[in-house]
Formats: sequence, C-alpha cells, structure tokens
Amino acid sequence: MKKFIGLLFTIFLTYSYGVGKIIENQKSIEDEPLFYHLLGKSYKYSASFVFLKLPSDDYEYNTTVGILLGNDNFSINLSYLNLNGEFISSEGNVNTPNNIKLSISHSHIFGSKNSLNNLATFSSINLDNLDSGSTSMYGVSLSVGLFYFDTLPTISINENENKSYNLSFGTAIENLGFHIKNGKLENINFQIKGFFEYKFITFREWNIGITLYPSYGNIKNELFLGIKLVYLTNFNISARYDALNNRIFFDNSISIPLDRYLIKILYSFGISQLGSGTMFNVEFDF
Amino acid sequence: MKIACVKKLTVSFLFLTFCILSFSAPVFTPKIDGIKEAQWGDTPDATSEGEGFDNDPCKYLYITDDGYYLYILYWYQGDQNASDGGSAHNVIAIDTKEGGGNYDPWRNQTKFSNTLPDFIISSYHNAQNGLKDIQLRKWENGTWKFLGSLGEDDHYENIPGIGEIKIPLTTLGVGKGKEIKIVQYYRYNENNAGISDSTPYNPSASPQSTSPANIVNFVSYTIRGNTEANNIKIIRNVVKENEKLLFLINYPGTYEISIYSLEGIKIKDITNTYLIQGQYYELSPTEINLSSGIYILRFKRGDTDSKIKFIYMR
Repeated sequence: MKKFIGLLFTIFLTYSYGVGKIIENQKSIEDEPLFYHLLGKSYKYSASFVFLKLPSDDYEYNTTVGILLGNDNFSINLSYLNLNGEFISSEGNVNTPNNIKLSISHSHIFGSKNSLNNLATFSSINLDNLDSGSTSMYGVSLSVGLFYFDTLPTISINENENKSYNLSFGTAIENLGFHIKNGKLENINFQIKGFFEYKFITFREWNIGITLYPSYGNIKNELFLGIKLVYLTNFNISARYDALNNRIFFDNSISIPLDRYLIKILYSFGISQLGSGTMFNVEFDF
Repeated sequence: MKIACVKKLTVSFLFLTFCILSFSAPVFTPKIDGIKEAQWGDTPDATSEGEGFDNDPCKYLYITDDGYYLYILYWYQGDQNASDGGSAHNVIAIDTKEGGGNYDPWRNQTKFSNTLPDFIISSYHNAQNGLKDIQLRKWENGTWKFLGSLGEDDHYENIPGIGEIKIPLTTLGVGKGKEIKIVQYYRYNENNAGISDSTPYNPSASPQSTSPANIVNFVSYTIRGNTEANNIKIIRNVVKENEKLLFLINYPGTYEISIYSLEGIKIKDITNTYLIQGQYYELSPTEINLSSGIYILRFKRGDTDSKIKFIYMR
C-alpha cells in the first residue's frame, strides 16, 4: 500500500506545474515540468513521453526519466523540436534546422507525507542547441523555483488514503542564462512565473477551485485565469484563459494505478491567434 | 457565299468578343485611395457620361478583381444641395445569383426588375453636417440585412471625384469564372423616390430623383483572378548576425505584419502598410530586435493569413 503513497505528489504536481506549465506555453522543450519528479514516491523510477503539436504546426518530442532518492528527485529530460517548412540561408541552402534541449533537474521537498505545510524547491540546468544547417548556437540556462503546499497529495489503492491539497502557490524563474554563438554571448528569453491554486468547493467526490498563473518575461507576458475540477484524486479537468494573449486551453488528466505500476495520461487542447495546439503525455511509474 | 457569310459572322463575333473582353481592366490589386492607377486603363466597363440629371453624377464604372476582392472605381458627385438638409445617396447594387431584392432598401419606389441584386453598397453624403457613411447590405430571407459599414481600407471617396471600394469575394460568395452584374445609381436627396442618374444608364432617372425609378440595366463582369496559395514567397528566413529577413510579395495590398512565438503569442507588431506586388522586402535585425530563436512572421491581408517561420541568430 505504501507503494502508492506519494504518487499523487507526482500526479498533482506534475499536472499543476509540469503539464500545466507545458500547456500554458504549448511547448515543453523550454519548460521542463518543474515538479516532474519533485516528491518522494514509493515508485523509484519513472519515465514519460510527450508529443506536442504547436500552433505553428511544428512537432515536439520529449522524454524524461527520473529516480527517487529519499526526499530528492533527479531527472533528465531530452526534447527535440521538429520544424516544418523551408529554411533558406544567405548561402541559398534549404535546410531543416534542429533544436535539441537537455535538462537536468533536481527537486526537494521539506516535509513528510503527513505534513500539513510543505515547502518544495526546484532547480534545473538547461542546455540547448539550435542548428540551422550552416550555423550552430548553444544555450545554457538555469531555472529555479520555490513552492508551498498546504497538504502533500498522495494516491493509494486504498481510497481512504487519497489526499489532495487545497492551497498552493509559488514562484519560479525560468531560463536565466545566455546563448553562445561564435564566442559571443546573448541573453536567453527568461520568464518569472507565479502560481496560485485554491480549491474551495467540495461537491461529493469533486473538488472545484480557481487557478492563477501570471508570468513576466523579457519578450512575453501571460496571465492565465482558470478553473479546475478534480474528481477524487485521479481525474482532472481544467480550463484556462490567457487574458493577455487571447488564448484558451482545456486540459484533462487521468491516473490509473495498476498493482506495481502507475499510468498517467494527460491531454491538452489549446487555441491561440496562430492556430490550435495539442499535447499528449503518457507517464509510467514503476 | 454561305462560307463567306459564316466567315464574316465569325470575324464579327471574335471582334465583338475581343471588345467585350478588353473592357475590363487587367487583373490587379488597386490601392483604395481615390486615385485611378494606370492599370485601370482608359476604357470603363460601363459608362453613362453625358446622360442623366443633376450635373451627371454617374459617369463610369471600372471593375476588376484579384481573386480575393472585387474592386469598383466610380465617379461620385456627393451631396450637391447642402441647404435641403438631406443626404445624397450613391448606391452600387450587385447581383451574384438567382433571386434577390426587387426594391431599393430605402426608397420602395425605386424598383429592380429582370436583374435582382443580392448586395447593396450605399454611400451617404450630407454636405450640411459633413456626414459620410458607406454600408453593405445583403438580401437574405426576403429582406435587406445590414452587414456593416465599410472601413477606410475598404473604400475611399473624393467628393466630387473618384470613389473606390473593395469587397471580399468570399463575402459575395463568388470565385473565378462566375459572372456577376453591377449597377451604380445616384439619388439627389435621400428622401426622394427615384434616381437622378445611373451607370449603365437607366432611362427612368428624373431631375432631383423625384420620380419613381425602375432599374433594369446592369453591367456584367466575370471574376478572373486566381487565388494564390501563398501571398508571400520566402527568399531568406535563416537570419544570421547583420543579415536581413527577405521576402517577396506575390499579392499587393495592405498587410498587418507581426512577430509571434511558436506557441502563438504575439510578441510585437512590425507594421501595417501597403506592400507592392513583385517587390522584395526585408526586415533588419534592428526591426526584429529580439533575442535569438525561432519565430513566426505573420502577414494578415484582408481575409488572407500567411505565416513565415524564421530562425534568428544575432
């Protein structure tokens, strides 16, 4: 039974921060889920695969593997952006650019599974390479975050042990770093993000709450206002509207415990001025 | 003898066909600015110059299209009598299909017969209070439905002088090869029953448009423009250091150009300007002014929407 304790850490936190954050941006390549393997799980290992269709009609493939060591989680994420269309350089060459990113993340929870007040930290080092065929550029950046949860969420086969947080908030700085090209440095587009969720209505097995995700960056700002419906501990529906960029997203997730394994499926659909995007994520914990 | 007759008839037919085909200006995209570009040519699709009443307020119609819009150039007299307090009324009626309205939306003593229009573009001008407005209506379910006022990008009128309008072909529901019919008429005072003049001319016109009118004469026009899949042709979209983004405009028009992120967030507006067909345009690193990455340059032109992905490495 203990094996299932703490799974909801991943489910909720991944959904709230990781996937939620991916969906907010309709991309995962730069936004490795902050809380992907944040908390201690009985499942020592996990692996996930993400397929993302961007509004620009480009596709992104993303995979993450993680390991739990006590209250610390370590993970590696690798993503590849497949760009469609013609790219013509001054030399007249038509190339297909490659954009590969690698992130190494660490997260730590201060507290135990029975704690009512929990603080979590996240940090990651992000490396990326953009190759246009004739020119290559490298990037190095750092992401850090600090978050509070009133209850550490857990999931169990025994329904009595299912727990969900009601209040959580936090902040993060993402992609603080620089690009390197021909020995010259340039700042990467960074973002300072906020996070607030409060579930204050309970109706039978449903919890209903509001979400707020403000974000400030050097080239783009976002303000997501949303509602979230949580059924028991393993089914989520949410809708979020980006008031600054006129985008709307609908997210669903379901987690299925199977004896020694947990399968989590996430689907998101978003509409922006440029078109629509979808994301499909399957995660295995074992 | 019979053969000679047939040949003469054939030659006459070809000559007539040539004359009819040569009426319309070439397929092009005029700028809506009240100025007649050389491409309009010197032969109007229809004329009524010298006919009608009240200073010959309707003189000619030039018509063309570019596969996206229908363009009409016409003469507009405006309100000739400020002291009567009423507006002058210039109307362009377009017939695109079977059926349509058999009366003018404002004066039910102005009737249509034979050809029943589906769309009405009306232009008011009141010299007393300076009011100008141009509105589009569609015949739907037995009545004239108001679709909206045309904006400055869609019409321009010099009063008195040249007026130009453009209407999306998607709004009219027509495409290449479709024949439509058009008439322009003028009402001296909006409160009067009939018309003072029209192009092509309709003999029921009356001085100061006081008598009821029956409009039967329209000019035919066939849509000729192709719809290109891409308004923009990429010349260079891998931009390094001081190089510039380079593209070619396939179709002229007023383009709203913005830069977006791949996630669909508008990052900045570049310009909203008229771009010329066949012209190369470039965007310098100073104009882009972003950190390195992959972005999308979006071109909105009327109902068309073109996107260019570009890589920018400073």
